[in-house]
Parts: sequence; structure tokens; C-alpha cells
Amino acid sequence: MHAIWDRGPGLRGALGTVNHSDVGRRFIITAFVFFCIGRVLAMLIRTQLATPGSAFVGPAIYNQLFTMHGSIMMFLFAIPMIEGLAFYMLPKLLGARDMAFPRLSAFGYWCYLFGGTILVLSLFFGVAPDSGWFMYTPLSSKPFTPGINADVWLIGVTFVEVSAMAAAIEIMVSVLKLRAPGLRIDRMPLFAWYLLVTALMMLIGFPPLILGSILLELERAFDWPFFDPNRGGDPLLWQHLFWLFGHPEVYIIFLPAAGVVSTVLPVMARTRIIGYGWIIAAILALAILSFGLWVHHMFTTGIPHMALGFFSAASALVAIPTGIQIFAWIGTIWAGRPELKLPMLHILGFFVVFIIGGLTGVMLAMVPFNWQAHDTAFVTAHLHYVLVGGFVFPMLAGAVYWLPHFTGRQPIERLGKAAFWLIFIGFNLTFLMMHMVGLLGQPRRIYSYPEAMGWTWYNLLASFGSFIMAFGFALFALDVALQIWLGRHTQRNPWRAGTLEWAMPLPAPSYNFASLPSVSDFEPVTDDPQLALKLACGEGFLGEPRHGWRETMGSHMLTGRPEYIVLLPGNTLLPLLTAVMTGGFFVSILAGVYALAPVFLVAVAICAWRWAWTTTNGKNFGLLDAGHELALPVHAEAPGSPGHWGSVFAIVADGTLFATLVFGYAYLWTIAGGWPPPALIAASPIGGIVALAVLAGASLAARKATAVRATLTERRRFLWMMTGAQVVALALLIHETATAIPPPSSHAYAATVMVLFVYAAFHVALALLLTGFALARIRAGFVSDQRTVDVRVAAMWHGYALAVTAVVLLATKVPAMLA
Amino acid sequence: MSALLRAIGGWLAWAVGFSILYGLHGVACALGWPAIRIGPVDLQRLVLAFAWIVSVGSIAAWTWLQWRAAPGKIALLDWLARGSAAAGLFAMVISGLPVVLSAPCGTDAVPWSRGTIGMVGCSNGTRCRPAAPSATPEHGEALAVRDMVFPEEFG
Repeated sequence: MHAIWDRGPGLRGALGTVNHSDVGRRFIITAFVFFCIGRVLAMLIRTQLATPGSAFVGPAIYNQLFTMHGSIMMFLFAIPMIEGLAFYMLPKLLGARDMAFPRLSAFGYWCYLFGGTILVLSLFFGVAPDSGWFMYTPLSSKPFTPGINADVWLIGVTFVEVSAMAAAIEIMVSVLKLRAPGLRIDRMPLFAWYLLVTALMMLIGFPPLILGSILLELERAFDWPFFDPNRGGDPLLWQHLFWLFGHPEVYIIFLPAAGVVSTVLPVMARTRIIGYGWIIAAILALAILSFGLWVHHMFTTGIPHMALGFFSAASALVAIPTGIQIFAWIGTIWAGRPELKLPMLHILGFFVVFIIGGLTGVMLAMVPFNWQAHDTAFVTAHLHYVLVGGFVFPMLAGAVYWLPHFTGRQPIERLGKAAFWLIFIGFNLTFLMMHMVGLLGQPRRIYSYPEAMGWTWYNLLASFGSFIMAFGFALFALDVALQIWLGRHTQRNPWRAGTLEWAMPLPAPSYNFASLPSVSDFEPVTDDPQLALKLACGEGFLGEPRHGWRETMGSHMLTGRPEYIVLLPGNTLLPLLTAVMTGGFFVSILAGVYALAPVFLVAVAICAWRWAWTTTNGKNFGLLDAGHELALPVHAEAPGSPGHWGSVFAIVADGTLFATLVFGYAYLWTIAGGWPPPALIAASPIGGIVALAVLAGASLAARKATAVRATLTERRRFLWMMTGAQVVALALLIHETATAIPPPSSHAYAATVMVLFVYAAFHVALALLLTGFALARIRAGFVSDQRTVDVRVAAMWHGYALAVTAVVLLATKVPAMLA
Repeated sequence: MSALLRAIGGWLAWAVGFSILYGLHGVACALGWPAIRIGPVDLQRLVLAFAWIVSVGSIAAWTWLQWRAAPGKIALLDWLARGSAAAGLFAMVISGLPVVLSAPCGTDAVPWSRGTIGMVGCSNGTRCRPAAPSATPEHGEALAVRDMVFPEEFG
């Protein structure tokens, strides 16, 4: 098993590994390194503010410091840390051997590393982003930030977001389809529920930011005026796009950490969690409600009263599901026999800090108070109480709790407790002072202040606290290092927990489980204390290695009934190569060498083609023995394979980006000044109607190509029909884009319509590529009556291309015809 | 998948209703509906109140259906479907209350000491920015406040 699942020897093995434990560990370690860099920046900020009129750094450097501190902590620490923990822990909690798309995880890691490196390197070259972590326009627009500082942010963060989108799809499919036999959705560990909901939120929450970054980069690079009020744009559109992402982001960070609390707390309290169903209801409510709150970050932008009322009410409502979770946790402590071990100490720290952050959040949700406190240090203090309380303390609890899993060694309690108290005291000293000085009127992001303001002592104490906190984190790192090198070997289940990740040897082997468990209880290890031994003896499912395959179980989304055997791909350099090519695309844009960008895009497409080509081999295996007299097909021969669901969720994310683009178009049309635009798209609908008609006709062909009873010859014929239609539609859309739209730099209307058409044309081209891929697979003998996933995926994306083309034509042509 | 979607159906319905209210509100302010009187109320309040009532009514109907629905494979998902429907209904009632309680398109000036958002000339010759780019002079009390930082200062 180890030979099958291990990374392989040498540098090639290290670069080519796709094993979820390796990738997860890398995410976690890299995120911690970025966290340390972010902490150093925070200390520099606090050094500057410690005394009035400080000359430690000038305003230009200071702007880079606070921008990079926020950006690093949000994009390079918090989210990747979640991804890392999810990648490492999810398969172990679910009774699987890996994630659904191991190469995608590895690709995500490289994108994250490269994107993060671009951002951090910019600090050393003095061109780091300096417009604040939310990059408001017009400050971040070309006239006010003429250098490449803002471009570094837009390119670097978007590159990192590719990783987050990959992770979201991966997590959703893994949780829904790769659970152990019998692991029904209503018995799933709460941590998996939290990650499922978080991944859904990432899928819908991140596309608005990606879109905003694309639009702002287009404005900066080509002068397309999406945010320029003199040419029909609106700076507030950026704020809407940013906070459509930014507010859910808070919950995207908080929910996995709350999942850690819900996992660790019952173990520390030596009981089961109270209110399992209520907690799930609460996180579902949080997930959706959090998308209706974004405007509360914009209360002072002059938004009409009624809209303020809508978002103030929704902001207050969100306290209810948060409260439900808090009460469930308190009830669990109450019902159990809690032990004040180190993880519990961090959880208590979480309770204190997060509840204070939550209460100041309710204060800020109230419009009159918000107006008073807006843009002051009070808001900075609030967000740190929420994010450090709601994320860092739970993650520290999780780190201490799961470290034996990573290291196979026992924690050193005394050192860990000292670290906790230093962090806790230092944090509260820093940010309590910032609450107060904020209420005294100190704005956020100022690089200096006169002594006469009376803010000196608060700032000095806050800076002092910041350094105490830094010592605490250093001690924590030392504790971890000592545990790795000097800690005593731990027993198999040191906390006597009941979840599946403890049913394996420690440190965890590369294959997790020698055989896969059958689950019939919330806490399988409590239910059967000998489970780990039985699984190691091969008494579970898929216990016999076969042909060197990486096998895990695919099961029904709800019932956990085994449906197929998932054959996972082995180690490969493809993810690294694809990430390098993706990086080439981003760097060529950053460097302004736009001619190179399409070259890298083609290289990415070639890598992706090769990647998909090597996903499965071309044989039909029929039913295979899965153990316990169970015979199952491999995933490629069964309906509803992980690849199918991966495509579905990719379309959900893509559709969200498109919906946001349409929202932006409607927003500008309705709200921005300088509309209606001086020139509209050519009103003639003929080209569009023809494009739509051929695509719609081809969708009938797509339907027939995916029919269960279709022969291979028929599938090929219908795919060729789709190809022809896609070529015609693409040509018409390109012609329309080139000839019918006014110059994009003339007005935000023209720029937005151009983006809409390019989006539609890109998706028709993508559908064409996938249809071509399906044809090539048929030709090579990879498609059979049982193995049709390539055809189904092509048909799915064809349908999406048709839908977006229809919406784009309706949204642009109808107003032009009516004008 | 449909059982999972049902489990968050109430919240999804709230999201749709909330988006409709916010979208209609933006359109109404832009098109000057508050100035159009229909009996004792203006057109904006009438349309928004109607949309709110329809939203509440639709979610109430969905809630009723969920409470009467036959049990599915997983009892927890049935419970979640009922719970999310009731919670979505409650959220729709609360978050739509501003439709009848607040002023339609009015804004307030918020003194702004730093930064600049879109330089637009004011009638008195002082260079200002609109505090509310969404507001119109007729209906939105287009409030312009002095901006302390001008483009030239950036060199």
C-alpha cells in the first residue's frame, strides 16, 4: 500500500506528489510561513504607530505594510490554511484514501505558492500593493496608483484564487462522493459538514472578486473605464464586487474554524456534541445569510435609507445562527466532564475573543453607530477580534489537537500553555486599546498622528501587546518544533476521540487506511475501539492492493451506499507544469508583455488536455471485488462519477462569475452617471440569432450524443454536428465582437459589452475544445457504452455556452434594438 | 442532490426575495418612482411592498409544503428543509420591513475627510464629489461634500 500511495524518491517524487497528506502539509506549512511574514509586517506597523510623529517608516512604505499585512493574512494565510487542513484531514475523517481530484490539489498548491511568492517578492522590490487590502477604486486606478503596485495585487491574488476555486470543487466532490461505506450524510462528522458548506460558499463567493480583479486590471491595462465616473463607470461597483466576496469571506474563514471547535470541544468535554442538527441548520443559515450582508461594509457611501435598512436587518439576523452554535458548544461543555487540556485552553480563548468580536459586530451592523465608527481603529479592532478569535484561536486548538496525527508524538503542554497566555494577553492588550483609540477618533491606516490627539498611550500599549503576541507565536512554533524532534511517541488515539482519523497508525500512513471502514455510528472509533486494528488487518473494504491502483470508495451522496471504486491518478509533474504555464500567463500580464499571454494560455490548454487524457485508461473492467462480497464497477463505468460532479460545480462557479458580470452591467446601466451611453452595439440581431440557432440545434445533438442507448458511431456523428455548430457560432461571435461594439475605452457600456461578448465567445471555444476532446477519446477507444463521461462533460459545457450566449445577446441586443 | 437543495430551499428563497427587493429598490430610485404618487403612497413603496408580500407569501407556501411533504430517505434533511423554510420566512419578514418603515431613496451626508471618489464639479465652483453616486438631484438629495484630496496632489 505504501509503495502505491507514497510520493516516490528524490526531487521528482517531491515535485510530483499528489498525495493529499503531502499536499495538505505543504499548504499548512506554507500558510504558516506567510503568517509569519504577515506578523512581521504587523509588528512594523505597530512600531510606526507606537509613538506620535514617528519617523520609522514613511507613508509610502507604511501604505505597503498595511496593505500587504491584510492581503497576506486573508489570501495567503487564512484561506490556504483551511485548504491545507481540509486536504490533510477530510479523507481521514471520511474513511477515504485521498481527495477526489489529487492532481487538482497539487495544481492548487503550486498556484498558491507562485501567486503568494509574486506578492511577497514585490515587498522586496518596493512595488508592493499600497491601496489597502480591499483596493478601493479610484485610489487603485491608474491615475492614482500609476506603478505596478495594484497590478501585483490583482494578478497575485487572482492567481491564488485559482487555487481556492480548485480546492472548493475538490472539497465538495470529496465530501459528497468519497465517503466510507455506510457513512450517511446525517452521520457525517461536523467538520465535514462545515467544510462542505464552506466550499459551497467559496464556489459562489470568490467569483465576484475574480471578476472585479479582471475588470480593474482591464481598466488599468487597457483603459476600459468600468470604474471611471467620467466615462459611465462607477467606483462603487468595485466596492459591490469586492464585498460580495469580502463579507462571505469572513464566514468562509470562520466556519472551518468553528468546525474545529465542534470537533475538538466534545472530545475535551468527554461527551458528544449537543445539537448536531441545530448546528448544521445554523451553518446553512450562515452560509446563505452571509451573502446578503455585503452592503454593511458600505454604509457610509451614501446608499439610500431603505437599502441601509435591508442590510442592517440582515446583518442583525446573522447573530442568531452564530448564537445557536455558541449555545450548542456551551451546552456540550455543560453536559460533559471538560478537561482543561491545551486545546481546551485555546477554545476558551476563542470563546472570549470571538464573542467580544461578535458583539462589536452587532454594534457595527447598526447604521447610526456604523457612521460614527466607520474607518476608525475601532473597526480594525473589531475585525481582528472576529478573525483572530474566530479563526486563529480555533486553529491553534486544532493544531495542538491534531499535531500528534502529523508527528506521531505527544505535545509538550507546559510550553504550549505559556504560548497561549502570551498570545491571549498580547492580543487583548493590542486590540482592546485599538477599540478605545478608535472611539476616540483615530482613523485606521494613518501612518502618523500628533501628540495633541491624546492617542499616544493607547497606541504604545497596543504596540507593546503586539510584541507580546509575537513572542507567543514564536513560542508556539518552538513548541511544535520540539514536539517534532524531541516529543515522546504518542499512542494511537491520544485524546480518546471517536472520529475516523484516529483509526490509523500515527503518524498517518500515506494510504490512511489499509482497508476502508464500514460506518454505522457518529463516532465509529467509540463504537468499535478495535476498529483501527481491524482495518490494519484488512478486514474492511478494498483491502487487497490491485495492479498498483490507487483505489478508494465512491458512495451515494445521502446514504453512503457504495456505488463504485474510484481509481485515483498517481504522482505526476503535470500539476506543476500546468501551474508554471498558468504563472507564465499571469506574469506576462503583470509585465505588460500581453503578446505572450495567449501563448501561455495555449500551453495551459495543452497541459489540461494531457491531464484529462491521462485520467483514465481505455479498458472496461466490469464489476470488481471490493471486499465483503461486494462487487462494484470503477468510477469511469458508472454514472455520477467524481468528474461529472466536478464539472457541475465548476459550472456553478463559472455561472456565478457570469451572473456577477450581468449584475455589474445592470448596476452601471441603472445607477452610474453618464448613461445612456453615446453609442450602442450595432442593433442588427441577425448574426446573434444565427449563432444562437446553431448552438440550440447542436444542444439537441448533444442530447442524442449522451443518450444511454446511443452507439459509438451515433455519438461520434452528433459530436461532429456540435463541433460544426460551435465553429459557426464562434466565428459569428468573434465577428460581432470585432465589428459591432464601440471602442471599449470610450464608455463603461462598451467595455462591459465587450467583456460580455468575450466571455460568451470564450465559452463557445471551451465547448469546442471539450467536444474535440470527446471525439479524440472516441477515436482512441477511451469511450464505450459504459464509459461516456467525456461526452457528457462536453455536452454539459455546450449547454452552458448556449445559455450564456443567449443571455449576452438578449442583454445587449434588445436594448440596442429598442433605442 | 435535490434533497440537499431542499434542505436549504427556504434560505435560497429568501436570497431570491431579498435580491428582488434590493434590485427593485435600485431601479425605483434611478427611475424616480418615489415622485409618482398612487393614492396615499408612491409608486416605489407600492411596488416594493407588493414584491415583499409576494416573497413572504411564496416562502410561506414553500414552508407549508415542506411541513406536509412525505418523509424522504434522510430524516435530518427533512427536518432541515422544514427548518430552513421557517427560518427563511422569518428572515424575509424581518429583512423586508424597511419597505414600510424607511424613507425610500433619501441619503445622508457623511463628512469624508480623506480619499477621493470620482471628481465631479459642483455648481458653486468648488470641486466636490457626490456622496451618493446613486442618488439623483430630483429624488435622492444628491449630496455633495467637499473632498480634501485632489488628483493634482498625487503629482
